[in-house]
Formats: sequence, structure tokens, C-alpha cells
Amino acid sequence: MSKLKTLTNGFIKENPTLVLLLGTCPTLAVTTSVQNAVGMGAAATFVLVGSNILISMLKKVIPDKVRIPSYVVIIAGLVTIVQLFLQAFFPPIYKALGIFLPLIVVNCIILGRAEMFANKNSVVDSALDGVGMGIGFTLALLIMSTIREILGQGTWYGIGIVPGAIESMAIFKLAPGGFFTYGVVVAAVAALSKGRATKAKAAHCGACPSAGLCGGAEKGEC
Amino acid sequence: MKTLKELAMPTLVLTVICVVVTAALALTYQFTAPYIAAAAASAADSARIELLPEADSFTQITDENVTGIEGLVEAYQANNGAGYVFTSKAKGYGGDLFVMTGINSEGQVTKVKLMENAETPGLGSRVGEDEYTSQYVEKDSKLEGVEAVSGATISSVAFKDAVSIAFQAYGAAAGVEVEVPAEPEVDPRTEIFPGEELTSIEIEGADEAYQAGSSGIIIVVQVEGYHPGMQVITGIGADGKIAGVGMGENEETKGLGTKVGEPEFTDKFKGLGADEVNGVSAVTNATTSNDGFKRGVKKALELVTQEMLDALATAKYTQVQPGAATFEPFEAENALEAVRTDLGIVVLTQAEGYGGQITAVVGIGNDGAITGVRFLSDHSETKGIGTKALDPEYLAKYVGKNSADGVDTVSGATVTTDAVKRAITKALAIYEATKGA
Amino acid sequence: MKEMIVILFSVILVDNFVLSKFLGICPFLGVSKKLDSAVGMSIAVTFVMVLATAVTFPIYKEILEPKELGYLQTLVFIIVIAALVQLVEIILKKYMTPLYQALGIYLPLITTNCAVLGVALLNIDAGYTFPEAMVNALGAGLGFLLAMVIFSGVRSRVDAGDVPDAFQGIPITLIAASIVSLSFMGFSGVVEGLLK
Repeated sequence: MSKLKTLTNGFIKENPTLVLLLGTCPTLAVTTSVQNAVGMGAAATFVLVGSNILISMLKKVIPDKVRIPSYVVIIAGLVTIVQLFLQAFFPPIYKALGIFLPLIVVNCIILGRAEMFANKNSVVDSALDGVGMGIGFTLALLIMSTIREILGQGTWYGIGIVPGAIESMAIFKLAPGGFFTYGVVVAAVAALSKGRATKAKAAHCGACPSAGLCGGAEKGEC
Repeated sequence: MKTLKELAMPTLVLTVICVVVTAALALTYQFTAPYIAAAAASAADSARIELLPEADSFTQITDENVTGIEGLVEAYQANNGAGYVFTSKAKGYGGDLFVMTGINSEGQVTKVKLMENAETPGLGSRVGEDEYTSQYVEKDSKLEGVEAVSGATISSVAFKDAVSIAFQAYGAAAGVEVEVPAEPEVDPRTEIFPGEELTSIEIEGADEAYQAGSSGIIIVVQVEGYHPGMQVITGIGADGKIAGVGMGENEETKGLGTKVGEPEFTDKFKGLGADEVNGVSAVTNATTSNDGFKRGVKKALELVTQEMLDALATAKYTQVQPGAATFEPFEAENALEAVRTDLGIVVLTQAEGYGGQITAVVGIGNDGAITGVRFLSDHSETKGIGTKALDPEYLAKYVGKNSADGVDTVSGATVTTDAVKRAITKALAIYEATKGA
Repeated sequence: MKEMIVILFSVILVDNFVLSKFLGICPFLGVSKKLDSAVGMSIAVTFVMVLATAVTFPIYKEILEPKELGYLQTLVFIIVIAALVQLVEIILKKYMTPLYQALGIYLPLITTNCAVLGVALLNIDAGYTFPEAMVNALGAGLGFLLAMVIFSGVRSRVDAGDVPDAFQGIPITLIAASIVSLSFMGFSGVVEGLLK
């Protein structure tokens, strides 16, 4: 794959959240506001890029038997670094992300990409893949949170958008609204990409060993 | 059998990775720890700045003179000298309630805030509302004029106590004297016959005289105690005996002569007759005040004649039919009591109000018009709401009317007003039934 | 005792892990199609949650916290959980084969799942005592079970219906989930009322 393709793959065609359906938990939880979504996207991207680079660098060194535990340790380390930095320099975001910050560790996207891509490709390619997937994830979070914040609160990133024009429906900020928005957006993406995305998904899921971790194979989607 | 290499290598690699990662984290932690601590401190500080806006940052006070004060939880001093923020507690209705108080360098309250508490939601918890807490702003330690939340006395008192504790801490921390809030004054006149309305009457020789419904008469005379101008308040019951005594305005020596006004002494007078007053044991070291007081009580007893006491018995009726002189009881359905007077009838009727039965005393003239209405004090109507419909000022509207209609309903007290009207209507019905009898 | 009951009911009904806290969505969406696999999965999840709490809680309280190593929480927890489950799987396979056959296949699926790590972290965050944490973990698992069972019923109806192309599969499942989640919101207030 060309470098550009590697990068842009994760944006839409293989968008981790909307097409591959990985990382669903944070997608639902932190998209109540755009600010939180961006925070999560940034944090996850940092970890993703970092882990992809490191794992790609160490791919020849890590024996196959212990590769999953090793990846987990490296990812956990990166997540902890992000945790500490946010706690020190961006306390509000740290508080807002709450438990989902450490849960980035078990975000299927990261371990998935490590398995699928980083341990088979060059460092540069892995880095690009990480950036691309991270951007795709953040994009998905942005779409979800934009919908939920505007409909649920009438603001975007805290700025009032349509004060009074639409009556705020608080339900969008709550659990049911999260599920609903996610379902609609995924359906929209499926409709818009008309099968292109589904095919890519099929190829991916079956070959994705992280399916064992995310239950993807069981979904009956692949 | 796996070779040692096959088994050892993976384990070794994993271990190395673990160690490296842990080391990296330890380093990151060392680096970020101070920033994290600073962020936490400023978050706590911003809560305190809310109470003392002029402050910049705070240092905790550890001086035992301050922290040892009963009820004080935490004390912080503003680093720029703007003042202090204290967290104190007092026992409220549902348990301890916690209050944060900001006191500036001039000893005035900047803001108070209700913290953890177990008060009744919607009632005691209202001490946390702006309407109550805003009263404290700019007050000094005397906390004058702070009014309790109606219906939440205990919570209000607890809140006020907590703020007082904060002032005590302020005194200790700033090294200044703090005055304590004054105890609320209780007027002995209203304490002797609780629940009875006092009507001012003229009695020659008495500075003040009141008729307490049909329960008794209160006489106030001025005598010379240790100092001149000591008001002696004596309440005499319908039986001619002392119902209670008290000391009004006086210039007696604080802590000595003033002890004559305290319950320990005044309680001894209850139930005594005129010839027993001298026998009451004196207050130690306050002989002159004592003697003056007893003289006042005896004078009061002299001023109250048997006639006056007899009039008490019929006070119940004359209150709603002034000027009536003869009283003949008669039987009437739906009435607790009924008397025929020379001016008409007076009946006692009942109706179900908001909190239970209310008893009306209704006077109706020979022309069928209401001469007066009042209600007995043993009712359970909501204080300040339902009781507005039992207020003499409101009931006066019925005087001269032939029916209970035509008088407006007291807003917010529909149920009680309704009961009032029903009781009055019952009385009018009795008039109709028995007139010409 | 009262607190335990409150915690239990809260985490099962009001603060349901899946429908309210958004933890454990992957297995929720993946395995809830058939009732027996849903139940099997839930029991496995509950088992791992309780076990994970039982091990991670003391480790944090006795080792990490006192030694100011709190920042190693994420790392240590995930390693412990992964290792623990591996161990359990091996033991089950060798000594309790029938049980392994029923539940064992789900174990890898939930090892590094947000729900398990989530409950371990939440117990520390909430400041529970050890017994309270265990009750919380049990409740979380039971809540998961409840959500799964209800949802598998919902899903079988949904799939039988006529679903527009774009919505087929995951999207309609998510929308169904939103409705179930909505119904669970009705439980807020029950717990306080229960023990008044």
C-alpha cells in the first residue's frame, strides 16, 4: 500500500469505530460533549501511534509466544504516561474522561492494530497507520459528539449554537441517546459507502485475532 | 520437552519489557508528580476562593488554639491577608451539618455555604438556599438580625451556631476578641399565660394590666429594687392564685439582682396566694432586689379584685359580645356551649380545619348579626398560613354580617377559611333555630 | 448490610454496567444473539469480575497505595487480570472439563474487556471497602447478565422483523439497545425508595 493510502485508510474506508466497530465503549461514553471527545481522540491517538511504532520496532525481538502480553504491557505503559500528563497539565479533561482514560488499554483498536499491522510492517508504515486510525477514531467521536452535544445541550464545544431554536433533548446526553446516535451513524456510513465498507470489514474481522478479544467473530457480522 | 532457550527467551523478553516500561513510568511520575499536586491544591483552593473572593491561595492553619475549638473542622488562612475560610459543624435536625464560612480581615462574613448535611429536604435544607445564607453577608460575630427559616428552626439554629464557631476560630486565629450573638429576649408577659391573647385593660394603680383571655390577669407595677425602675410582672389566674411572675425592664446588678428574674426564683411563686409571698426563699446576695420584687407581687395581688376574677369567667363571652351582662346557658344542638345574654346569644361551635377541629366562639346579636368571632387557641392549623384565617383582624370582617358569605377567603388558607365559615354558619343556624324561643 | 443491598441494587438496575455505564459493549453486542451463549458469557463475566476484584483490590490497597505506586495501577491491573484469567482457563481445562466446555471459550473474550478492568478500577475509585467491592463486582456481573438476557430476547424479535438494509446487523441492535437502556432509566429512584 502506498504511504498515503496507509494514512487515509483509517479515515473512512476502514474507520475503526464506524466500520470495523472497534472501541465501542469509549465511543458511547465520552461523546456527550465535543470537548471530551476530542480529548479522548487525542489521548487514544497518542497511545496508538506510540504503540504501533514501538511494537513495529520490537517486532523481531518479541517472541511469538509472549507477544500479546508484551503488547499489553507496552500499551499499558503508554496509557499510564498519558494519564499522568493529563492529570498534571489538563486536569479538567482528566476528570472528564474518568475511567475511560485507563480503559484505553483495552481499547480493541490499539491492540487490534498492533496485531494486524504493526508487527508485520515497517516502523514508518506503522506510524502512519496509527495516525490514520487515530484520526478515524477521533473523526467518529467528533461526529457522534457533535450530534449529541447539539441535540442534547444546544452547544458545540461549549459554544451556544442554536439557543432556543431547537429544544434541547437531554436524552441524547444520556445512555439511550448514545446507543441511538451510534446506531444511526453506523447505519448512515453503511448506506453511504454501500457495501464497500462491508467488504473491507469482512476481510478484516476474520483475519483479526483481536476478534478473540472483542468478540468480533461472534458478532456474526464478519 | 521444550528447550531451555525456547522457554527462557520469551520469559526473559517479557520481563525486560516489563522492567523497562515500569522504569519509564517511574520517571514520568517523578516528573509529573509536582504538577499533579499543584493542580489538586488549586482545585481545593478554588472552592475556598468561592467563599473569600479576594483571596489568592490558602495555607492550612494548624495552630491548636484554632483547631481545638469544639465544632471546628478545618481552618485556612488566605496567603494575601484577605481573611480566613473555616469549615465548622453543629448538630442540626438530622445530624451534623457542615458550614463553610469566609471571614475577611475586618471580621465580617464574606459568604457562607451549607456543605454536608442530613436536614429534611425542602424544609431544613432550605438553610442552604440563598434566601437564608445571604443574610450572613457582611455580618460580624454578633450575627444580629439573622432570621431563621420558618418551619426549620432547629436547622437554622444549627447553621447559626456553626457560623458562631467559625467566628470563635477567627478570634483565635486573628488574635481578636469576638462578641457572641445576643440571646433572644423573652417577654415574661407572654410566657405566663401561653397561647392566650393579651388585651390591655385599665386597672388603677397598675402601670400595665392585661386580660389574658379567660385565663387570668397580668399586672405590671414598678418598684424600687436595688436600683429604681424594676418592673414586676405578676400573672393571676382565675382562682386568685399566682399563675406566674417575671421581671421586666430593670437596672439591677447583672449576675446578682438580675437573678431575681430567673426561673429558679420566679418558679417558686407559682400557685401561691398573697399571704405566702413573703415565705418565698430569697436569692443569695440580692436581698434588696428580692424584697422589691416581692413588694411588687403583693401589690399586684391587692389590685386584682374578686369582681375582676369573676369577670374572667364570662370573659369568654364578653370578648365576642362586648357589654353583655347576663348569661344563661341553654342546650343547643351542634354547639359545645351556648349561653343566652341580654344582647343575644354566644355559642361555641366546631368545624374540621386543616390540622383538625377548630373551636369558634360566636356572638350573635338579637338582630341576627354577628357581634364577634374568635377561636380557641387549641388548634393545629398551620402557623403563618392557616392561622391567618383565625387572626382577630380577619375575623373582625364578620362582625355585623348575617351570614358567613360575603367575606373573602384568606389566600393560601382555603381549608381553614372554609372551616371558619362552617363554624360561623352553624352558630347562625342555632340563632335561627332558637330565636324567639 | 444496608449499604451492601443499596450497592447491589444500584449497580444491577440503576447504574447497569452495560446499559448505563457503557462497559462491556463488545461482548454485549457480539454474544447476545442466542440466549444460552448470552447466559454462558454473563456467568463467565461475573466470575472473572469477582475474581479480578478479589485479587486487584488487595494488591492496590496493600501494595500500590501504601508505597505511592498508584500510577502503576493501570499496568498492574491489566497484567494481573490477563494472567489470572489464563490461569483460570488452564485450571478449568485440566480439572473441571465440563465447566470449561460450558464457559471456557468465553474467557479469552472477556480477559481484556472494558467491563472487567472497569469494575476493578471503579471499586478503587468509589472508595469501597473490600466486602463492598466484592458486592459491587457481583452486582456488576448480575447486571450484565440481566441486560444480556433481556437483550437476547429483544434481538430475536428484531432480527425476525423487516429491517432496512443500512440498519441491518449492528445499527438496529444499537437502536434496540437504546430502548432497553431507556427502560432501565426508569429504575433511578427505586433504590432510594426501596430502603426508605
